Amino acid sequence: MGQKELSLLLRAVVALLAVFLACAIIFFLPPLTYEVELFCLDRGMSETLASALGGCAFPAVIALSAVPCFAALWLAFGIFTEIGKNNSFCDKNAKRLGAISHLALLDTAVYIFLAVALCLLGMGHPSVVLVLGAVVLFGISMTVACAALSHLTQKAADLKADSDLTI
Amino acid sequence: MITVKLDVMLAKRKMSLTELSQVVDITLANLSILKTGKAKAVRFSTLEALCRALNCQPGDILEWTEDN
Repeated sequence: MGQKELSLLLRAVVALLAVFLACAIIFFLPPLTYEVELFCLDRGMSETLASALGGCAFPAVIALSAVPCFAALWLAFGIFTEIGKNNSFCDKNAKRLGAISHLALLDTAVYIFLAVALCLLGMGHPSVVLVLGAVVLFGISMTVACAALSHLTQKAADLKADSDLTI
Repeated sequence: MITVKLDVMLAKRKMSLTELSQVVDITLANLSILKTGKAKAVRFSTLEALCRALNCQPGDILEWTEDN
């Protein structure tokens, strides 16, 4: 597979992921919100509190946590475009990877906060904690991998600049 | 700092950059980088080719000057 084809494929994957994420938020968040509201009522919470937590706080946190994901996908799209231009090792890509690392860290922090909040509210069902734990682990892995890749890309970009300016 | 005096030597030999690029087999773009002082390093092989083409010593092409 050539560089241009690879770039096209990766950009298509990123676009599909963005569409999938958008569809998940649009179609799955409302029923999930309803389920959380019912779960809160089952736990003996008042209707007002259940509505505030399940109907407002929960969807707001989930929707807000999707913003860094969309931003990271946009940055990844930029990285893959540079790959198509045969300019993989550039300062821009190193900065983009650094930004993705920070966004992953931000999302991880949001989900850690969500897990702690759910446990404190007595809603820490094992399956929910397990899912949140998996998301947090994935977020930490992304943060570390992207930070390391950002450093390596920056070093490679510096070496490439040196090589290009050696006559 | 090291400055490249390629333009001076080209003027002395009454040679254009295009002619030099054809003789030493280095692209015009790379010779332009060298001439404008944007190059970070010069290979011995490049220096040898330039010296041979311009019939000069490395010191005729490169010059060390005190940094400001």
